[in-house]
Amino acid sequence: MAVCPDASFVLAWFVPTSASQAASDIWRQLLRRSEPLIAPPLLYAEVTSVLRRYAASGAITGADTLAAIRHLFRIPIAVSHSQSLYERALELAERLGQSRAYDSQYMAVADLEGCALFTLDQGLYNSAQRMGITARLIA
Amino acid sequence: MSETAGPEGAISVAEAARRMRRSIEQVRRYLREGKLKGERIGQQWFVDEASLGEPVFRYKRSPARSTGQVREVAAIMDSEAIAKSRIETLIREVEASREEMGRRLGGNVDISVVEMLQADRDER
Repeated sequence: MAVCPDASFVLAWFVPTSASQAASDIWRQLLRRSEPLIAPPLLYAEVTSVLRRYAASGAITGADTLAAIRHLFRIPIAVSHSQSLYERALELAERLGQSRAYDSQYMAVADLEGCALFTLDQGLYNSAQRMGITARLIA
Repeated sequence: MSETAGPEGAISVAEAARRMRRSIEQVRRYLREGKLKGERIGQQWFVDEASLGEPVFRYKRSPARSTGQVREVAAIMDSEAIAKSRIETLIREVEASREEMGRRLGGNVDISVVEMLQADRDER
């Protein structure tokens, strides 16, 4: 089954966190099995921004952030970018009563592409479950 | 057809074709055109093995130009092997990079990416 990775899942692989080992094990499986990976453009913006936050906090260096971006672009992820993605994201956010449409972009990709959403975010996982979208919580 | 023993450092056209993933006819054409170095002994061409390493043949191989099924399968296997090798390299590099960051942090890896993402979104 195709997988939509969210930014938390990517970041946990790239930077050391308590969930890194779990994320790493799953990334290895996905990549070695050549599982199709699909994500919204938001993934790249969020990963970049959070890497910058890590660097600004002194946890990692600027060189680490650049290396992580190079790694990100070597992961064979198909970017889903269409009007229907954003329309679906708005619809999902509205149904969930969310005032923002960040999480819903990942959910929209998973929903429209028929893939499973992989995340470390319990809130996003719960929302996906409520919308009947296949999701996996990595902990 | 039996193969005549070739000169030293030379290989048969069939062997050159296999290594280059080109047809035998294409290799013969390269020989006639002088793109490949070789020697004709009687009715049989031999290819100078060293000339296979020349850039034009090392880098211009195009699986899409292959015509035979065997060559196509070989090309697919080749590209799959390359893709797998790239993935293994990526995995190694990502994990080495993360471990290095972890060492610099002195094992303090208690940073929640979910909280970082949330804070990032809140500040937008």
